[in-house]
Amino acid sequence: MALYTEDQKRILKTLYPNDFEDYDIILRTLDKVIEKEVLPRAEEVDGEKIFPKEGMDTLFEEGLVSMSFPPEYGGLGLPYPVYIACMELVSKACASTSISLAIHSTVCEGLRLFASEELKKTWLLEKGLLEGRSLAAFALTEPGCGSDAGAIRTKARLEGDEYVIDGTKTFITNAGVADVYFVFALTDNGPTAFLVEADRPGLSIGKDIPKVGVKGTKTGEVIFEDCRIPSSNLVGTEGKGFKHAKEMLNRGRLTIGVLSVGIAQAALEKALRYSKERKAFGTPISSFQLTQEKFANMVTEINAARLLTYYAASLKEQGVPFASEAAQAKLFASEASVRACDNTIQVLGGYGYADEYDVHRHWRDAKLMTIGEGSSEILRLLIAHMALKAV
Amino acid sequence: MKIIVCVKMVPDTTTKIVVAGNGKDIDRSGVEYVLNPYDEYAVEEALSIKERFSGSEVVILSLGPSESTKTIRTALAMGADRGVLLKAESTDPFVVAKALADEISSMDPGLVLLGKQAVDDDANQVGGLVAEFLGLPFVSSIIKLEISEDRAVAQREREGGYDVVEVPLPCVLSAQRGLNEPRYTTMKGIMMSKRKPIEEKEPILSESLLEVTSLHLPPPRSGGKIVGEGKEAVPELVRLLKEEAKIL
Repeated sequence: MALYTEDQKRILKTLYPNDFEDYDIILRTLDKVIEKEVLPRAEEVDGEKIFPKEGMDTLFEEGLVSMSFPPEYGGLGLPYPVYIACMELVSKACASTSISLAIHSTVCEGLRLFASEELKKTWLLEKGLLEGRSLAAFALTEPGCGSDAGAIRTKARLEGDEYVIDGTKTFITNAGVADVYFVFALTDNGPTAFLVEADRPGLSIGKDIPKVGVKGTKTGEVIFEDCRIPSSNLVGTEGKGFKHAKEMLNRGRLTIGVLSVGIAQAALEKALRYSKERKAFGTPISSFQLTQEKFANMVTEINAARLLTYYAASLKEQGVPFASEAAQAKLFASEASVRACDNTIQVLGGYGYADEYDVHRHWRDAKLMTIGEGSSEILRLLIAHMALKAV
Repeated sequence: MKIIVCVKMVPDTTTKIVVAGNGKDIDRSGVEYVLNPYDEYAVEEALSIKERFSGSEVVILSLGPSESTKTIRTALAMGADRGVLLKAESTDPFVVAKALADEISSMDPGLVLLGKQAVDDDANQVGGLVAEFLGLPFVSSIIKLEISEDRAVAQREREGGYDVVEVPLPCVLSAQRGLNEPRYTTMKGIMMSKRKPIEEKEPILSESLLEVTSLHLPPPRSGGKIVGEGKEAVPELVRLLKEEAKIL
């Protein structure tokens, strides 16, 4: 078992004592698949900035993206924490792959929650979003606003039975490879969500945005100029766009949380292994207390992050409010992950800093997670507000 | 066509083997058990034949402890239809083959497939013995197979090449690596496998002809040997690789 950890096993066994055996088989199988089809290419995906389509397709075929969706969408109705555990494995191997899938899955969730029956049927079934026959992207952020989502300027004006969209979105994951964009724009009634097919006239993709990490992902600008869509492409209700976005982001934070855990776990294991072999002053560096201190902190924080994330996921599964826990999980896991990856580079010293040992990739990937899908700052405000409201 | 695939539960090949206290067995504690990799090729071939011949059935047959149901389930998750577990243990290929053949003879198969050997004992005997007990033709170590309703044409691997062998059905074939690329089990397959039946039987085993008297780990690896320097060392190196290491 290259990726699936004893810690994950224990959490799943605790959460699902009766069904654990099934989930264990699923994770062990996925471990094998990821080890053969995703892990070997991870370094190249990062180094050559390759969109990891093949690995993603294999994971779609396995049933990863549809697994927690209900059977009427071709899913297996498996509990959300099991999906989360699977995403931890993907992320441990290749963060670029996991985040491309995570964003896509967030859109699928949004459609399931808010879209009309017709849109759901078209995109979740006919066009096969859950099977990977189409890819989706989430387009909220603009050049002028990220955290300040209320300041979006993309407009959607109603003309007859069409909406006409004008505006620019940026930092959009899967830009240029997506078949459909989940777009937030202002109507007369306020922020609203729409589906815009990639081949709509008036939709163009700007330049790719080079980044320091998750280099395999496609990140770019999406430009709407007089882009017409039928009014039936409206998702949910006019004016409710931010409510929809919040719910989608709550779920997205569970995934980003576990992605951070996976990245950190990969880094931790590399550091542990290296420290046993590397000698300094005639002894393995694993025997040095200052190194052990780092390991103790990493192990504790990663486990805490994992437990918080799986716990938040189990709240979602139970159908109870989980927004604060999801924010806590994403906040803590992303920051712990950056610390863990930083420590790993430190433990490996020069070899951690150099490209050869494929270690700094983890730090570079982890750093995004404190920024996107709710920056650490925004999440702190959210958690504080919810705590104050509750008292 | 009814296709029977015989499978064995074996320790994962990455297991660190420890000899048990009795000196004859491996210590089973902490060992991860998997479907024998050579049997996976057999299962995959059976499934691919099933896809070509509508109305076919793939039955997974295994002799082993009750934990072998997990191994059978892996094959069911790949797409096989049902399983039969003969709950018994034996390290004697003759005994295993006899029990399998007895069960198969009541099943009226169109084809019997299995891996050429199990990765724990590497005996490479059960296939041939089963065929002999059933009075069926046997082709070992197949790397390619063409099947019709009543014949099989198989490439049997041999040193430096292969034979092309044609046999009537039913027959017994043992799978070698390279026969196919086994499919991954999907999550759907795993969940659906729960609903596929596994019949458990308790066979009476025939008398053992083979007894394991002791089990040893191989001797520890010795250090490398410096053969010489430069071009002059090459003939001696080649000789050692041929005669001592036996890899040329």
